[in-house]
Amino acid sequence: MTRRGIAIVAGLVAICATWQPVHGQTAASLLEDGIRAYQELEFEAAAGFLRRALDPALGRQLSDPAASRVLTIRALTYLAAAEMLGGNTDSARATFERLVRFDTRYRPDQLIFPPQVTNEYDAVRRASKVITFDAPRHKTLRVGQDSFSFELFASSYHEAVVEIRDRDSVRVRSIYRGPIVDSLDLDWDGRDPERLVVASGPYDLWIQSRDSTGILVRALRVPLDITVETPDTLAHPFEPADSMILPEQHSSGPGVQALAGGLLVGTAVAVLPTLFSSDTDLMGGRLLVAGTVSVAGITTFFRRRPGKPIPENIQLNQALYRSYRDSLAVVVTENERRKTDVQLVITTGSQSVHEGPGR
Amino acid sequence: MTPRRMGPLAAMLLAASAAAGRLSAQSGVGLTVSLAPMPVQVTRTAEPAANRFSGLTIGGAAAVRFGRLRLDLRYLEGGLGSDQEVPDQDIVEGELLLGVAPLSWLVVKAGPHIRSFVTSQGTQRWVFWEGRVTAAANLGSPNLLTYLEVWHVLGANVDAVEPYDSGNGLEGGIRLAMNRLPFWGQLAYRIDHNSIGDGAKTDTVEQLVFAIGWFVRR
Repeated sequence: MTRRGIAIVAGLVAICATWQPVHGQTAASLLEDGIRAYQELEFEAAAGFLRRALDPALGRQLSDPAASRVLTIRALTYLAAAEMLGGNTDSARATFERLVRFDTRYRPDQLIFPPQVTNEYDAVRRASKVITFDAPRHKTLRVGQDSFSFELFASSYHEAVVEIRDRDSVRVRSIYRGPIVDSLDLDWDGRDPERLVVASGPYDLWIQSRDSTGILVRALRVPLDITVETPDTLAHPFEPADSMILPEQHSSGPGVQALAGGLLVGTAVAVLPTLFSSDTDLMGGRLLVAGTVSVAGITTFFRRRPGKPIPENIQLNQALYRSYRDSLAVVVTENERRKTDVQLVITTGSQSVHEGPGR
Repeated sequence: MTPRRMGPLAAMLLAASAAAGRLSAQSGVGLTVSLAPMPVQVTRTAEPAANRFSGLTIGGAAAVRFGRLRLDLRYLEGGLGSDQEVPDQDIVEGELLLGVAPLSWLVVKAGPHIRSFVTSQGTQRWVFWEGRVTAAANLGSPNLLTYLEVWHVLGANVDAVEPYDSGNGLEGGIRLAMNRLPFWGQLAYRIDHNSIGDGAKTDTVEQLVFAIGWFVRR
């Protein structure tokens, strides 16, 4: 690369490196120039510098929103003061109105600005019906335990209407309707007037300023993106199947079978040997066996006679149903808790202003 | 009972016990082993005389079940005496029966049954081929059952001059298994009656069984 090429590249690099700071400083330096001119009572020049400092193209180049906000407030205040003291009262009022809309809580420093300026600002502020809004950008609330809280700041006493609307502008819930003086803390529990939790979807928070006759002066629309999160409910336990239920009374089968079996075998043992060997003096022990078997069959029949309750089975069945009912109660209770454990995730969007016909 | 006679019985019981462990590892297999002192009475008639012998025998039995099939093995031996002027004798008996259970409560079996009477003058051996039917019923609980087994001699070979005539038998009793333990007790009466020489001579053998058993079921 030649020396000339190197020089061109170096020059471009230097320009790129200094370009942003030059423009970032321009708004600030214009503000300082305007303030200096104001202090030197050169109100026309001051207004010129300050109008240029408020050029949105310059303000956007400030990376710090807080610094940009301070710059804007100072520039508007000095601009209004310069216009006021320069005899342009209408322009000053318009600038003050702009300042009030920008920050309703701002007050010009009475040590810096003369009463003529601060009184005019107060007059404009009293005449303005402006509300600004402050709320967290994201909020997760448990319905019934928590609420979506936000704060309104009013420029002056006036009537305010605050409501939630869906995207078709149909009112979902009225939050507030009444006077606002300076500030107002409001809450929304995430429900509609029928105490039902709203569905997921896009909504708007409308904050309306109305005049004494109820005519809309200004409306602030804050988009709300709402997501309803509900935990899944548990499945109910299965009722004990019939196959799990033990018989609670003896059926006729086992008792009769025991009686028949015992008597049949007992009789066979007692009688059949005499048929085999009729001329033999048989062992007496066979009668012991025959008697034992017969007695066992008869005893079993009476122990398990048809229709006799079976206490152990009754207890087991009762325990089975008790266990089922307990499990069901636990699930029902848990599901009731889960149904009420609804969470709303609310994300606020960029607000927009709609001017109304009222004053 | 002499030590010499105890040899086959002990060997059989040991073999059955050893087999229990191996068989229990197989699916659908059951093994039952029992040991029983059994009062025995043998009534032998040869018209017009009749001799009665009685004594105490000891025996064991094993039954192997494999699905519907089963194999029954039984052995006993003991001494018999008489209050009449006849010499004492020993009795040794064994049987091996192969069965099938067409129903849960019914078993049909067949196999050889050998009985020997040993005296100082010689041994008389009876070899029977028997067909048996066993029916069992619970007495209100699976742990308590009664059973009746009847059999008929299908063919026989007897150390006697006269030809074998006929024979029948039965065994009936009750068996009680212990809850949660692999043991059971048995009380039974058993009789078989055989005749030779067109009924000129008969042998009636009765046994009273008091058995204690052990079973393995898989």
